[in-house]
Amino acid sequence: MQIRLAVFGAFRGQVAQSDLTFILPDDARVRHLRAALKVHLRALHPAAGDDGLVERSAFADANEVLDEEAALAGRQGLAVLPPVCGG
Amino acid sequence: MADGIHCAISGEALSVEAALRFVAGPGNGAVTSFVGQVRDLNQGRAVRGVSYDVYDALALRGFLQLTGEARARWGDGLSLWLEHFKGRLAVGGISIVIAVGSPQRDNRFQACRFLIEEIKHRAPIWKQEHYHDGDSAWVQGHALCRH
Repeated sequence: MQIRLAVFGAFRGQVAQSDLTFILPDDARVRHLRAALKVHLRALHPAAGDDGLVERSAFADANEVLDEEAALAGRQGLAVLPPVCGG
Repeated sequence: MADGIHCAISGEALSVEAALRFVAGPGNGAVTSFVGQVRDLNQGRAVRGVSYDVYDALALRGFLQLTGEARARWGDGLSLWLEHFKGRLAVGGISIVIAVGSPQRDNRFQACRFLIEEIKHRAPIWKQEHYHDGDSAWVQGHALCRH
């Protein structure tokens, strides 16, 4: 299945666009998307990942932050959320 | 949105006056507010502005959840206003306005403090500081991770 992943915060400095597209198995879970994102960023920037940003980030859809084992199929508004600092 | 609750993400200048009007009421002896502004110095670096990035849909859902939690803890009589800015602000610009109205001041203060602290830790909002030397940096924050 095709997954569109919106990026925010510090990830905007690492990718040229506001979202990324991944092809993953139909039963893919958040941990698979996390791994795919690490590979993608590493391909863009060899040093990407050294800061641990992907590991410290959460994944969410438009409704909630997702557990690592949450299935991705059918979810709308998937996004990777680096550590937050509103206010 | 529940009666007496206003939550929004806005790219327009935030209005403190609108917030105070919204939470004022004949039964409320006072209102309590928190107004966040861009400061000119952070960790020794001279700041000229801040850009706020927001995942709007999730942030708004979170705001509604937080206002619901505040009412559950401090009473359904709370009137609540919560707006956060999205976009770039210069030093002194208003980034967030929280206002709480209720008959009891202790409830107001506690609810207002609860909302700003929880937003800092739970809302999908990010700050990029712009410095006078031309550099920019995303501010380190609090991980949302549930894994």
